[in-house]
Amino acid sequence: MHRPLARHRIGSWKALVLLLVAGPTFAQPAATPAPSAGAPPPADAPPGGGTPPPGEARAGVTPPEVLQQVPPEYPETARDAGLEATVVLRLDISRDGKVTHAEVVEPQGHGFDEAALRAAEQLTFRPAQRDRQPIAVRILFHYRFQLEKPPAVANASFAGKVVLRSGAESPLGGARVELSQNGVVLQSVLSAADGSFRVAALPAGAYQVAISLPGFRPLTETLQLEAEHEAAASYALEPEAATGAAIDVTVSGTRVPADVSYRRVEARELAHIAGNRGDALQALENLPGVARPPTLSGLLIVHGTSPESSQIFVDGTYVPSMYHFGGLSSVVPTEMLDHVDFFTGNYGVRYGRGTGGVVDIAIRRAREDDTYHGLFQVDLLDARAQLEGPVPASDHWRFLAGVRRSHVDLWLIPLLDSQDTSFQAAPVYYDYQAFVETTGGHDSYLRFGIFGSDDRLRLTNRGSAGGGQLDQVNTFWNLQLLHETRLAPKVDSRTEVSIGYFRQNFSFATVRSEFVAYPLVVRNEITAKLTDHLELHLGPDLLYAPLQSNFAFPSESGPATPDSGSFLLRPLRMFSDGSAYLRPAFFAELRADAFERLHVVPGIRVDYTHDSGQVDVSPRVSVKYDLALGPRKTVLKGAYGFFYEPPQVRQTLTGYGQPDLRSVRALQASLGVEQQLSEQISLSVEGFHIDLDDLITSRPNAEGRIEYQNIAEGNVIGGELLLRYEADEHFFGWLSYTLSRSTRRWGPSEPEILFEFDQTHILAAVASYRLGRGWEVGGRLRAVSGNPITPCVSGLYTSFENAYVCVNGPFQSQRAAPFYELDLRAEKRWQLSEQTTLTAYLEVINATARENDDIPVYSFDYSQQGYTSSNLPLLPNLGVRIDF
Amino acid sequence: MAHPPRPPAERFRARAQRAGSVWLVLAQLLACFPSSPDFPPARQPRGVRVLATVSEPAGGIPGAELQLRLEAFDGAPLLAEAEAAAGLSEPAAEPPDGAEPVPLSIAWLGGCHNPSGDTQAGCYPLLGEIARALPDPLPSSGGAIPAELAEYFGVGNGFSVRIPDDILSGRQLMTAALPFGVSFTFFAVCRGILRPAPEVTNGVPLRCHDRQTDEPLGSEAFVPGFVTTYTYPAEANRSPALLATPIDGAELEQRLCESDADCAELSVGTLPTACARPVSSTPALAAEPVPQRCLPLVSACPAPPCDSHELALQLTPSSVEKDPAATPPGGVAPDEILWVKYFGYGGFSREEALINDRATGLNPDYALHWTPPAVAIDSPVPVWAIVQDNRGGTAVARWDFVVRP
Repeated sequence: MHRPLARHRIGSWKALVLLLVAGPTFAQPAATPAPSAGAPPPADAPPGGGTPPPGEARAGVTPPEVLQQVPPEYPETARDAGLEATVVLRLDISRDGKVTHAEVVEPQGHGFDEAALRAAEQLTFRPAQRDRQPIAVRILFHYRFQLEKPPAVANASFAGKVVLRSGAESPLGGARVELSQNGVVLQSVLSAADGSFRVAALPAGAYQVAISLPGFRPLTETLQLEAEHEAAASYALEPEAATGAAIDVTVSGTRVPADVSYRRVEARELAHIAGNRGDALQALENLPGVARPPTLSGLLIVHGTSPESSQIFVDGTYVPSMYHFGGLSSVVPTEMLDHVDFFTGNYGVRYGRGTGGVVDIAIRRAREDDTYHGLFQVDLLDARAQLEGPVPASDHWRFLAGVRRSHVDLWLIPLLDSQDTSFQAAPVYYDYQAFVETTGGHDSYLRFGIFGSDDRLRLTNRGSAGGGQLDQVNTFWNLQLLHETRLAPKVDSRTEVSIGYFRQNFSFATVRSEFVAYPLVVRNEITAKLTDHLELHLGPDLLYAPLQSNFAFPSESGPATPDSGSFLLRPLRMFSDGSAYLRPAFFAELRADAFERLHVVPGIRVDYTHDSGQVDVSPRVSVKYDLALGPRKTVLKGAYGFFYEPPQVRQTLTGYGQPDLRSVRALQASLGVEQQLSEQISLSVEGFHIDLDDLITSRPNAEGRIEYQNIAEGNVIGGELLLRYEADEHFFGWLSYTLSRSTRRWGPSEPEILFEFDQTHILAAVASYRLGRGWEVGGRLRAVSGNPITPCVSGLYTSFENAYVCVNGPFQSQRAAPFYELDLRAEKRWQLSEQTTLTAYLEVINATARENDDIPVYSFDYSQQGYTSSNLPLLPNLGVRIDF
Repeated sequence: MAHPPRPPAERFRARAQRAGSVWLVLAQLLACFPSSPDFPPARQPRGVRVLATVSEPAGGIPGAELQLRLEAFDGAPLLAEAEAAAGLSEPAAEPPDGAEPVPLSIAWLGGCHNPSGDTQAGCYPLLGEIARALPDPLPSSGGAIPAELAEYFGVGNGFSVRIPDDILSGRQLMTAALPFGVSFTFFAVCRGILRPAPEVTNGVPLRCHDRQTDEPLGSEAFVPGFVTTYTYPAEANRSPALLATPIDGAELEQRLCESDADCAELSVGTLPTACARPVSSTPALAAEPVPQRCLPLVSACPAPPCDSHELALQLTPSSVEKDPAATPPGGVAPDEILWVKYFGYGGFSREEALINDRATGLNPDYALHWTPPAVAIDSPVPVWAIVQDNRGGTAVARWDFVVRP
């Protein structure tokens, strides 16, 4: 406990001198501090174990009293930096009231300690007394350095609403809303029955807002109030029983127009979808417009476009893969996510260089409650840990860090050894994330961080003629800076800068590939609110990547070409070169609320591809019309735009590819309606069409040599539906259905055939229910059309392999059997303490042990055909997790 | 958006990932995957099979001639004999004394060099032209082939291919790799008679018909295929060379015989020998009947456990050559990749194995542990080992066993 002793004005600065007596014999302030306008009372005290309350003194002892002092100088560098501090000194005071020794107890740096010591040397005390006799004592003495603030004008206000976190957002009355500064509560109100609240007559400045209501998990956040303005906010409280995942993950679908309409899937939903191991990104596969990828392939197939045409970003930084080895786990753990923007098509102009979908993963901010939180989870595949909290010895910095490593190698290699096979495998993956961040005034946010992933696989099989050793390394990391700030009252800026390392090594038998790139990404988006109905978004999007390629690979055979046997035995094409590629772009988008219900977003993007020398101009527009407002809201939406995907770098390398290749062009159109059916249930229906042109494929040229050519085209048409029950206290679920047809024509004289991942019907049903007492059960059912297949009508013996190659029938002329799978999940949670929970879960993949028989297989000479199943066998996965 | 380039390995990797190959392999290894349908094993010739093609030399040389031949076998008579011995079918009628075995029909279609796309499919238009010019049925001997077709067509177990002098002209596709030329030679092996089939546009335009009924025959009697020959501006490839093919560590002395008495004192390791006439692999080449030889004698294995025998291959050290076409820029030429595939009857410990790999080097464990078949038959039972390198070289080893009760 302590009390301020004195406050002195130093020019335009103030130094507050505090005295706390904590000597061995007594503890009492010697004087009452003088009040000072605009300066809050001291809030912190040094440790004072055994210190009696202020105002008390031990019997017979009188504490020392300041007679004379010289205010300390405010350190210039600290002043310029806007720093404040409290320096605690330990003083030895002689019987004649002189300071015989002074030392700093809690160094503050920035010149504060030296200034305090210099001032302490000039202190003079009335000595302490015992039984009216002066005695020498040791005391603690505080100097508080505080910058003078201009008188505050209390003309800011703050209003908002408190609701229940669920799809219906029911209002919550009686919630306490507290605004505080430096730990002192300045205003406190209760929300009304409709959840609304308002606090007025507040000085401008930064506040801590705390929202609490018994039975709900409290919220805190930092709020910046501006003079003569009323800030508005809405707070969604989550019932304490529903705080399973301490994260808030948003998955949004096609935004038409941007920031106006999007789908939201709560963290609880993402973490509890059966069959996904709690992995949020895998949950994307259950949304409309997404095809079922081959089991454990890790591919993202959106709206009938090629997997290579979809892009994955982490806060604007491209990552080469969303998953470790074929989709076992995503490279960013769910608990790190703030939200996931998932665009199945017709996205805004801030994204480019692709014709498929976009997944933009936003890392969440660290919690701001000044305590440490973490988790540890382990299951059959990997273990992970995560920690977050304030950065030690800093005032405003927080950190968020995590790491995950697979442990498959730890049990697989011994298992294979024990089976005495000639087969060995050592798959290892890990990922890591570490961020530090700070939130400053003026809506400023700054974050530095690194995230990366590493997959390594070595397969050794000398028992097979086609065996040998396969080595594969996929590594990437990115150093990333993210800065958001308000440049002017209605102008915001978001800057993403990253420099990374990207390495892919692959070798098997005769072929090998070594590839290293150092991509530099600079993106900036300026948002200017021009009027109440007009908002402009614009900025550059630069990509520069020095790279080194070194590979030995045969020529590529394009799709829909006859089986020519193992390409491992063909002559190698070798390439070794260092180069760099530059792909700058600029985008601008206008978000206009033309009328009360009509929202139009026209945009344009200009991309330059240095390696091909091509400039691509992509105009796009999206429109949304609120046909009906209120609880049964109806929204019509549509979009139309051009999208360009530049050639892969290898395709334009001089000496390997064709430098004059053009970008693939996609013309996308969509039209749909969203209907709110009840508080919890909504329905979305949308049709889409994609016209693909200038697709690149490998075909023999006039001289008979295989080369890349812009001779293919494609067409995708379809519709999708999402019927959804948004999460409430007990239940969530949805039904997703997509009907589509995707075709390709790989050459001018070739027939139109089905795209290899075309799936006519894609149905996913997801549901989960909280039983109570910490139990939750759920399931996922998928029914999907089989992929197109090209039958083998006979075999042709080839000498090089001493085996047969397939003699193809008509390409993609058959379809595999439909895919069905039911996955189940059960979870039990124990609340070990207020902060700590223990969760155990059991997932059963393919609970019915169904074999879909959807992959054709043939006898050695292709004279007999059969089928095998692509789905996993009945596979239980048990996991345990601790959150604190 | 930032989009780093994809290396060429990605396509292969993407294919592998699409097949889920890595994890499928692992999962299947752990026996937790659904099993594939049961198909006849590739190692066991149940009808007409091509076991190997042999090229001499084992790679192309501009302006030089290649001699191609097949190691082919018709396993149907042997299986019929085994089924009869097991009581599963009636014994086949004995051929009349002195009757020659019916030879397999073999025809060759060649002359396709550097086709479009460097794949066999680029030859199909040429094959169609050749087929349209062929007589129907095909002649049974080379003497009946029109002179203008001699470069493109041949019959019997042997065909000569002349590599064009200019096959490497204009073939420098990339500065960092050796230019190459590629030649495709197609063939068909048939238990009956071969007829041209120009309507076949996606394979070898020949059909196989029964000698008596003229009905078309299927894959058990008909094998179409092709031989790929690469030509580099470097020393031509040589086939792997076999030093010995020991049985249980012992080499069998080659001794002709007329009866078991001639073999009474001959053994190989712990195995005695008996006198028998091996079944010809390539009857079409057999101008004379295969002579009787002393062959290792084993007991049939109606039920396990049975004795197994190690069939080993001893290769000359020079069998593993350098592969100059795979030399990385600024690097040295790596070794060839060698592997072996086993064919035949009885129990096999493996069907194939690597002998030399670039990453893991020489594999010491590639021998076959063989178990005799369940029933005894009169004909000796063959086992083949086909050793290949990754540049088209081939070596053929064969063991024959007399199996008695």
